[in-house]
Amino acid sequence: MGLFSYGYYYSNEHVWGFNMLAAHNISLTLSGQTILKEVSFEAPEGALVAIMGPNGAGKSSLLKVLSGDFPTTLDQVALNGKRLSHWTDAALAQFRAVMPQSVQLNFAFTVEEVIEAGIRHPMPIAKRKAHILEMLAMFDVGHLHNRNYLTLSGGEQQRVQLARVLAQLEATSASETKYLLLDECTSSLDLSHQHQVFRVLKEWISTRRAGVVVVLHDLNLAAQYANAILLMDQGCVVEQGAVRDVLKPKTLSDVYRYPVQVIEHPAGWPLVIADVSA
Amino acid sequence: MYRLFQSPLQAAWLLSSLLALALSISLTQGAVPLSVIQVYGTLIGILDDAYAQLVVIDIRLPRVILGCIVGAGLAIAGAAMQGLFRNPLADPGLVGVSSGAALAAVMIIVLGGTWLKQWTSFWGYFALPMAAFLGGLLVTAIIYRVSTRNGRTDVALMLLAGIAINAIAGAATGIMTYFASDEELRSLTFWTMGSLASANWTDVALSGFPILLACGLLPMFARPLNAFLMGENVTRHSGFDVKRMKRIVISLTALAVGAAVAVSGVIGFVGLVAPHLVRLLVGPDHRWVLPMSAVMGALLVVVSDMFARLVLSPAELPIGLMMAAFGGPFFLWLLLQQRARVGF
Repeated sequence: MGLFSYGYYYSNEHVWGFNMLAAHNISLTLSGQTILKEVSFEAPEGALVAIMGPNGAGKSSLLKVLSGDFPTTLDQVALNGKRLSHWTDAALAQFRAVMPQSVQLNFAFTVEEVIEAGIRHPMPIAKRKAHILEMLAMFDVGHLHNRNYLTLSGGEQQRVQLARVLAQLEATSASETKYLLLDECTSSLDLSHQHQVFRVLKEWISTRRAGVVVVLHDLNLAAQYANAILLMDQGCVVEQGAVRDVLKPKTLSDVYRYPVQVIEHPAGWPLVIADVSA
Repeated sequence: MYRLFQSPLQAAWLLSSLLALALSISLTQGAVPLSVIQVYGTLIGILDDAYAQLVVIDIRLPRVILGCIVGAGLAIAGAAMQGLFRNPLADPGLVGVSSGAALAAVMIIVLGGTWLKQWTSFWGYFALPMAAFLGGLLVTAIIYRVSTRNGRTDVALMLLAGIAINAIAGAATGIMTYFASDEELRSLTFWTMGSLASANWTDVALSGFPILLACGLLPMFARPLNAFLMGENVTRHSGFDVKRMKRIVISLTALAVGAAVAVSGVIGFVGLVAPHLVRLLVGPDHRWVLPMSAVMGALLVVVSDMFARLVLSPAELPIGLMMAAFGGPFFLWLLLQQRARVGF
């Protein structure tokens, strides 16, 4: 996954990386603290890319850079061949949705209203309702549609937020390749729902022109579902590439500062286990 | 289910009917005893009674209409601010917007003939409302600036800044009283306590235009405000132009509060209580909260003003006092109920 492998420079507007989300040589300093150092990244159409690394590695910051939350790095991120600064918020929202690590809400919206609030695209009421219910059902929260969002458990809220961002992208039929940027979207979910979420994401990628970027802690979820992994430590990229090339015992033990073994799962993917005997 | 009305439309009808009822009763009440027939006969023009004409058309009618306008303006401003600050505590009175507007008005009254002569001669009759608007706008901008970091509003900072601004405005208003003549002093008391007693048709026209503008335009931002309750970034990623929305909503809020304060002084609690009541009825969706808060605010002010006139009749209490005396305990009771609920 070398940078510039998919597109070429040819004008100021079309920069690089067609049909992909790409960031080039990102450095970020916040109040004197270096957060990211010369990070380059790309997530092509059709791929699920996991950003991984220990706490404080800069994963969420990178995701924020990719979603355009920092004005200083807008020109170093390209979406479908155009710099982020080229797109308006309204245009971006049609083919890119972002789920933050946490959503602070003080007001008692129903689950349905939470989804609706995130969809700018106007839809006829009947169609909108059906659309929202369909999205909720995908993440197994359809039965909660009329509940007070604030009374849901953390895991249920997380699944509602997942439904919200997917509903946002599925509300329009934009011709652009669509992207979901998800920050620790399964951190509160139980085993079966974690897998359900990733199956939904994989299914979505395979039936749409789409790509997904997730910040993730669970190495084995990544091993099973990701097409590529970006491993970070202290604001720098340690390793980047196919799952098998990144999930190596030496690399992981160094990055996480904890002995780690990687064995082969019978179904054919690397299985990472913390080495308690060491 | 945790809402009193499943159908917001039903609640809207109920509120509107209550407002109509309050208006029609309020017109028949006052220091001058007039019969219902006298009042409505005069109103629809079939009764030729010069005295009733004077009382109803020139005193009571502008007063209840002004009450509606002021209440609607304060309440919709409160609802919009609560959305913008993502917090049900934001109220134009509590965070100092009203007192900023009142201070500006007081400065025009006291210094209008001397230091601020250029301002008053330039704006003429609009000098005072314009100053109140700018005072409100300045305070809103300061509060927002102080309390918002990286797109997150710190509630504690917001309230502390509000306390500071209320203190500064209070001190400055106090200083003004030293420079004020007797007549000016009476005006000052009016601004700080809030009153509809001097209502006339000019006031109605003066506050009506900006407040109707705010009531007309603010609901257009209901959907971005809904998304905004989940955070600034969520709103932007959902495709709404956050900067534009914030700029316009802040200006319209300041405009409505400034216009209300310019004609009625500082009337607290409306901006806090009205949106809260509406959320209890229909939930926090701004498409309903904004317009219905306006109706609820009008209802609260018209009813309070009626009691302000009746309690010590023929003398009357300042409506600000009335609002605080009844609004305060009522709000405490609401907060007690709130403990059993999750979210506002």
